[in-house]
Amino acid sequence: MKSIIVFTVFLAVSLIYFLLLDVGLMKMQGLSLFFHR
Amino acid sequence: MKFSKKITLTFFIILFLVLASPIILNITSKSSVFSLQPLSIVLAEEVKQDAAAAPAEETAVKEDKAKPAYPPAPKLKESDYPKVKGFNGRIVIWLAAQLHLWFAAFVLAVPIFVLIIEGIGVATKDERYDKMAYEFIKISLTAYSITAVFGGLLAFSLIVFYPDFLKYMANIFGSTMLAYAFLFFAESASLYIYYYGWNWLKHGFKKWVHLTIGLILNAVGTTLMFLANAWVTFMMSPGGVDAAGVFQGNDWAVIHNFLWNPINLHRFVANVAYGGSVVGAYAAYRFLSAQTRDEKAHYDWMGYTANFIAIAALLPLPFAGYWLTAEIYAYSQQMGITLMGGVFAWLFIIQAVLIGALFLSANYYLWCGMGRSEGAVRYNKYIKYIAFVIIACFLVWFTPHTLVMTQAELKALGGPYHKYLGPLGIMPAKNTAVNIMILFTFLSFLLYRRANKVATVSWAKYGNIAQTAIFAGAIINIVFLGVYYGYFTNTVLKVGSSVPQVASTLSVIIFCIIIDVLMFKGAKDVAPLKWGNVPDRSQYALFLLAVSFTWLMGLMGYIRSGIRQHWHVYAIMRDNSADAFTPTIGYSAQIVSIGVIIFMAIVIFIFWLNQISSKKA
Repeated sequence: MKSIIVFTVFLAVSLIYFLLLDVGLMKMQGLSLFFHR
Repeated sequence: MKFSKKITLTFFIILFLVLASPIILNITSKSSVFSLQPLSIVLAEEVKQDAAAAPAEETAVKEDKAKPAYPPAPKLKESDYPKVKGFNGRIVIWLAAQLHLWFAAFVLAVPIFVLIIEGIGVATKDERYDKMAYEFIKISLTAYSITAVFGGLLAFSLIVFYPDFLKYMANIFGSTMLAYAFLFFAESASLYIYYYGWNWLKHGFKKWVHLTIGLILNAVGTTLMFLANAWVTFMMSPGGVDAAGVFQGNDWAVIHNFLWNPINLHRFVANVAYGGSVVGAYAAYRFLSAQTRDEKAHYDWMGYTANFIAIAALLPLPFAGYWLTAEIYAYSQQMGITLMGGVFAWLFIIQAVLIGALFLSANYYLWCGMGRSEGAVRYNKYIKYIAFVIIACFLVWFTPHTLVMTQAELKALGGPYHKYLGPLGIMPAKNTAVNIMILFTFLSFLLYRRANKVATVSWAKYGNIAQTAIFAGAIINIVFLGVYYGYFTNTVLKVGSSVPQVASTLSVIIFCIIIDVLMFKGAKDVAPLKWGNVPDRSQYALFLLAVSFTWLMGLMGYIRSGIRQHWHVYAIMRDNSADAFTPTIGYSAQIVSIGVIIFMAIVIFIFWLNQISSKKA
């Protein structure tokens, strides 16, 4: 159980990191991450 | 100071002055060696000086000065291309250039990782690294002379078959061509001292001198490659000339043309991967012909190191290739569409198959290599899942967008695109597949790395969980970017999203290596590694790696050159020879394959030479 909780926390942290990475790198190219037609 | 040290220092000062002379001359002299001027300009300058003494002639001199200093690109006719009975100029140039490039890539790459391995040997004080580095450089030394032979053949063939083109290029690149020739002396000198002085400069201060020579060797070699890249990329994306091809006199502008840096990066990384694969094949050859257990163990270790180098460079290679392609599109959309949307697109399917073969053989070699360790049984169960993912990605990677079909097949399918497989043919699907394929190859490496180790740190369990979470997070992100941007947004976003995809993959590699290094610091070995304890079939994977790389370079090199179509210099100097057409894919593949066979035959000859050189009577 403890392992699952730790995994979930790490996964959440890594997903936040990747989301920020996406936003930053798309913005650098003058693009937005969401809200496209 | 000892006499030997004095000689060494004197030598280094001389070498430094020789290498730095172009820069020094550039700063101290107005007429830089890097801006050699044609005779017409020199004469015009002399006339100008005379004119200062004789003002009456001033007007005439001004007129002389106004004349174009450099000739425009010549407009050739078919009769301007010399013919030699029994030879096709294009095929001769094609094979000579390709063989020169294969060997050049090899001899430029080997000193890079030899220097690194030698450095590791110094840092770890492990004599085996030094021995292996010496053996690697020994192979490249034999290949060095063959590189020069093919370079000479290429130059002579250009003089014979394409004299006007070569003359035009020499008008623009005269200074860099001379610099190239002089640098070749420096390259040869440093290589020979590096190799022949290996045992002489083995201990203490001398070892540092040896490492410095290795560094100079690599600096000169890489500069040589960059200069040659300038000629090649000028033919694709000419800079520093006007619309008629008249050189504007700025050497840096023609060197630093639009595609120069993307090619520099791509070739540098690819050369390391290629060099690793060829020495891997050498190790496999020696492993299979080894007579003793010690010999087998040595060449097994050598093959593993070579494979490690090849794969370490192969992992970032698709990204360098992607940047190059994006820049080709940015320079000329027409060139880009010819490259990936036109006739050459089918060669990219072959490329995909070969790259898939590279990844599969590299992974297979690692899995076989786990047999060296008794602790590998803990991880063997994961191999089948890794294999499944890599094969699934491989299938997506080489799925074509449009299929070659008869009318009846087209009708039965209801259009050119398959209902389910069609969407897998576009780049977002392939980008997603290749990123996941790279991640799982990296996972194979991680498993191999820890196969014989038991972590002793208290947080090992959480380290593993963190690594799993990073992998999972990256895969979710890569798939999200590929699916959302690939199928629900426009092209600009599709291309843009590939950047965070690549960044995700690189992030995993960096973070997991950091965790792994910390986690296995002071780790216990399960049992001593049994080098040489691998099946013979694993060595054939190393051969496959070398052959796939060679074939891949030949085919992709043909495409890179072929997208100029009927131009010697794209949109500047037209090719009007009888061969100024794009051959069929089958024909091109045959020529490249002939080249691969010739190359491999010479490489085996080199391997054999190295084998007999170490034999005693």
